[in-house]
Amino acid sequence: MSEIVDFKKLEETKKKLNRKLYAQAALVALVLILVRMLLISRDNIDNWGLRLAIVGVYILIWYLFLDQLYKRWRDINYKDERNPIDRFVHRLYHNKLATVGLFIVLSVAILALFAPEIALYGSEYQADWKDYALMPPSREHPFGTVSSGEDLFSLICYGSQISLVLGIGVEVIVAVIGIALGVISGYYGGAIDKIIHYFTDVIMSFPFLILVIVLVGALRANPDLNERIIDFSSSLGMDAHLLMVFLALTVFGWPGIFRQVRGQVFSIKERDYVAAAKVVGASRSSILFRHIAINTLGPVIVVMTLGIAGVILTEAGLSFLGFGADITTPSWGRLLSEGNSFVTQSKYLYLALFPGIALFLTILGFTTLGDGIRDAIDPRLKL
Amino acid sequence: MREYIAKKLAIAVLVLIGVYTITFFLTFMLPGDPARVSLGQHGSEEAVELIRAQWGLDEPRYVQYINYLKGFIRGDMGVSFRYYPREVIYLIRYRLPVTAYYGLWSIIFAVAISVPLGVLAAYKQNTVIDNIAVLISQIGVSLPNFWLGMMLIAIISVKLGWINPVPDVPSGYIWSPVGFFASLKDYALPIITVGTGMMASNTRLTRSSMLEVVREDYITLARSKGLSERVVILKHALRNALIPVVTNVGLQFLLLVGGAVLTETVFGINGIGKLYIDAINYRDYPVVIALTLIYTGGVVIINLFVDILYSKIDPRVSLR
Repeated sequence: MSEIVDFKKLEETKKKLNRKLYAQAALVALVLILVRMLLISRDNIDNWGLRLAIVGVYILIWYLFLDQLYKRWRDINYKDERNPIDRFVHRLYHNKLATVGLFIVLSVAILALFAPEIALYGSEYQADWKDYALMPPSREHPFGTVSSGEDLFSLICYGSQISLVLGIGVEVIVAVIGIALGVISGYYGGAIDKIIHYFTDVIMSFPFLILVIVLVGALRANPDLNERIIDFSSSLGMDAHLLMVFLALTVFGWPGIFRQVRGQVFSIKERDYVAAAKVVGASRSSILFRHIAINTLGPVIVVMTLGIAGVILTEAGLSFLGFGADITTPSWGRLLSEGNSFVTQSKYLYLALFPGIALFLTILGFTTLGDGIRDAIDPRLKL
Repeated sequence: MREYIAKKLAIAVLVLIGVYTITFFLTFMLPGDPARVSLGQHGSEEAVELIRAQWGLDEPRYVQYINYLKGFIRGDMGVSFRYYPREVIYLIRYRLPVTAYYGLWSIIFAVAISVPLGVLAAYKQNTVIDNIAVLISQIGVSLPNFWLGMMLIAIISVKLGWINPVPDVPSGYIWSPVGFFASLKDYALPIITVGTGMMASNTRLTRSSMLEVVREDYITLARSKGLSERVVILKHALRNALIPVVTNVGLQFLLLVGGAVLTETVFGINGIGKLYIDAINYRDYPVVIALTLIYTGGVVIINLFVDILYSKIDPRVSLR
């Protein structure tokens, strides 16, 4: 005698539990974010060691919270079976390089999120700092100081924010453009496809760094545009020249993701489930987004992760050449260009060494993580 | 086949025109007067006007656009604004050998290490050797080129004093039969700098391509014929596995030009990269446009060449 299972009721309790879980999670997350914003700040806690400890505890609480959240979510939705997230995480953890990459990326993310707390000195320039110019590494300045007297370790901490915000920001926008154009191009084909494809051909045959430099140069030299960008960026509290780099990288960065998505859409649109969606009368937008675009996301995430590394490297190169961040912005590339002017004096080696290591590790993290995700999604995937 | 090539060439011409248009608009549409930049603050108004007329800058933009295009079709790249009255082609002919020299050597360096390493890693898959090879390539891919260059200068030339940081060899000498090898020491640091990234990506490619090829049926056949493992790997597998690597090397030669901007700034080399960045800084638009078009032409030709190569090597690829 088997019990009669009421699936409808089961579904409804599931929904109810999920809703409750999400509400609770949102509340806890909100409280945690408020704690971060109001209580944990370098103004409140003077002692650096204490600050680090508090940040550590705070991160631990986040970890425990997310862990609990995931476990409860799994209990509700996938009680006795292995779910796709489990499988993905399992495969990712079994790839040693990917684990290392994930660890580095998380460390950089924490560094960026808590830069003011982890940094030894504030980001506001103090007048008496100029007496401490070009000091070698010491207890007070673990990485030494630069020629303006600022602490190099603190500058690297603040620089991580720039690299990460720029890298992730550019790649998210680029992905949105790339997916939208890729789905349109791949689904409709024909003339639209040819035109968009032509533009990617043109952009991809440029030397990328040069193209970005020329565009940034054009934006800088045009007084009308320049003024507007400076107005806009100062309202955001951002470096105007970095905003130009951001614009240039998004304008020219989308062809990579576009090609990936377009190729995928060509094969996805022939699948049976798309035909089934058409038969049951799904709207065109529902087919494009819920059935096609969603299914291209896996490879897109891989291309994005590798792309973040590329953006960070390009920004560093541009700032190194003087086409990126302003002199007052602690971008890693800008720090490296200062290091380069002292490179022939071996006692100033630290100026180029530490920002370079930070840059190298960050890029290493994103490339290995990207490779790891690719292997975890599909080992045979070619990107 | 002929039809296919004709079609590809037509697209290539369109791409070149697109690249030309974008570069023209990004450079020539800028405010600021190259004639004024070239004469400096003290140049008289008449002199500036005269130069503007000579360079054709007083004409409407669209006339300039067409005139330039006409010039390029005839193979005339115009006159440099900065080094007036030198022609652009003269500057390129003078600078290209330098970049090509260390570029060629870095490719030799990269291939000499990466192909054996990649084959070995694939052959001993999932062993310590393989892991080390993967690690080396992963690090090499992630090393920022210009930072590596700085570190090499700081350690090898400044601390140890082995090599001059700035290669100081006349550009006519390096391509002479003696100079080609004799200048190697002077250019060792740029060659290692540029070659490391190439080496890393080629190692990855060789490894993955080898892993794919050794699973093919014809390798099993070769083994079952009783051929030695050496012959199977080096003769049967490697030959096919190298096809994507060769493609990559071709593209790397072009990527070199983009990267040369950074490398040559670090090492103070007077090559194409320095010419490019100086041209952008001094509004020497003819040089910027000429270099960009040459680069794009290279990309287009290599892509076409690769398409044809694949169809010749692999009969399953059909060109349509």
